Amino acid sequence: MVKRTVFLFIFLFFLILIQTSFLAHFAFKGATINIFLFTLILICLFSREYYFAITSALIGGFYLDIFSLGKTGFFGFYTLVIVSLAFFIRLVIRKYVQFPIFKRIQKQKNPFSV
Amino acid sequence: MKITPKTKLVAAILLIVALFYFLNLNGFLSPFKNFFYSISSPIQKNLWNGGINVSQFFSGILDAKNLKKEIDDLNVKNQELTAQIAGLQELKKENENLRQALNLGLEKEFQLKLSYITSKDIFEDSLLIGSGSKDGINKGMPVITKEKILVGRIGEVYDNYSQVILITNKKSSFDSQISEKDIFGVVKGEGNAGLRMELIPKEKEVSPQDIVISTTISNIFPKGLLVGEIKEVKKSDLEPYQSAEIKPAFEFKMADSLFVITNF
Repeated sequence: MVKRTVFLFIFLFFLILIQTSFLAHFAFKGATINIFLFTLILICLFSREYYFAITSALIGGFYLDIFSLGKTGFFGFYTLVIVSLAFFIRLVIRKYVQFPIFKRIQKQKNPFSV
Repeated sequence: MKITPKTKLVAAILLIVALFYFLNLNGFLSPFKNFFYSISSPIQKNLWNGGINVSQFFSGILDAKNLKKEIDDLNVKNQELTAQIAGLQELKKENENLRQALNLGLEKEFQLKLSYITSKDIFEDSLLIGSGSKDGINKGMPVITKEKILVGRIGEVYDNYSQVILITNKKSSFDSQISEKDIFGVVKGEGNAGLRMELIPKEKEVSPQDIVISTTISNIFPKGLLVGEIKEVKKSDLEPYQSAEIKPAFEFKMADSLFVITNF
């Protein structure tokens, strides 16, 4: 678990650097494809483990707070938004989505349910 | 008492929120962010330059068919500008003579600080540059390119880094003038590289390709910095003023360094 968290820290760090410094040059009408957010959502959708999805959302949100230069003025805004989004995605998949690809996730037990 | 996973989760969330609150309140945020930027800036500088090269390569391929037309347009513009320069050289001589006669010093030049771009914000029109409070950068200082094109102004300042709020940012608004015409207005950023000039008096004649420059009315930017070119004019009988869409002169995609005006 520690190994995977360290991997996430490094992987998402490089991903946000690519997003903010490299992909910024490929804007169309001022907008750029946000592969960072896209990757976070994919991890939340397809990761086997609940903890991995939430941890990646937490680290991803943290990096967004560091590298976005103060849209809201409150540090931690993106972390809270992305983590809430991750919880929401996992909840929707577990309870309401019936696609076979998500069955593996649906079978999992939510570690936070009592 | 048994600690359930739910209790753990609530505790973890509360701890994180408290940590964020603490960082926001106590001025720890600036050195904290500065530390992360120091780690990432060497990589980001290389990525930024790589991005410029790759995007130039692809834009060259994509724009190949428009190249002939562009060359013809530039030739025409070049001839017009050569004619203008000839006229201006005469005026320059006259101006120098008048200055000498009136015993006036030369116009004070800006004090500039060169800085490199390291990254662009994901969600809004702002850049991060590699100069901060240790280099004498302060909030609100204007930022230009080497061609004296207006880029924006300094937002947040860290020890070694600063945020540049681009003129296209929704937070940006400043007074401007249409060059060679006595027309004033307010330029507002629209986000996503969009720029609009508003509050232009209705009776004034504004046309596409007019050049927009900065003024010193509100003392935000120095006078005469290039902002952009009028793209489209919008006039409505229902509104008391007319507005115009501007094509910004600054393109961050092609820039790797900027100048901060530390004194004007």
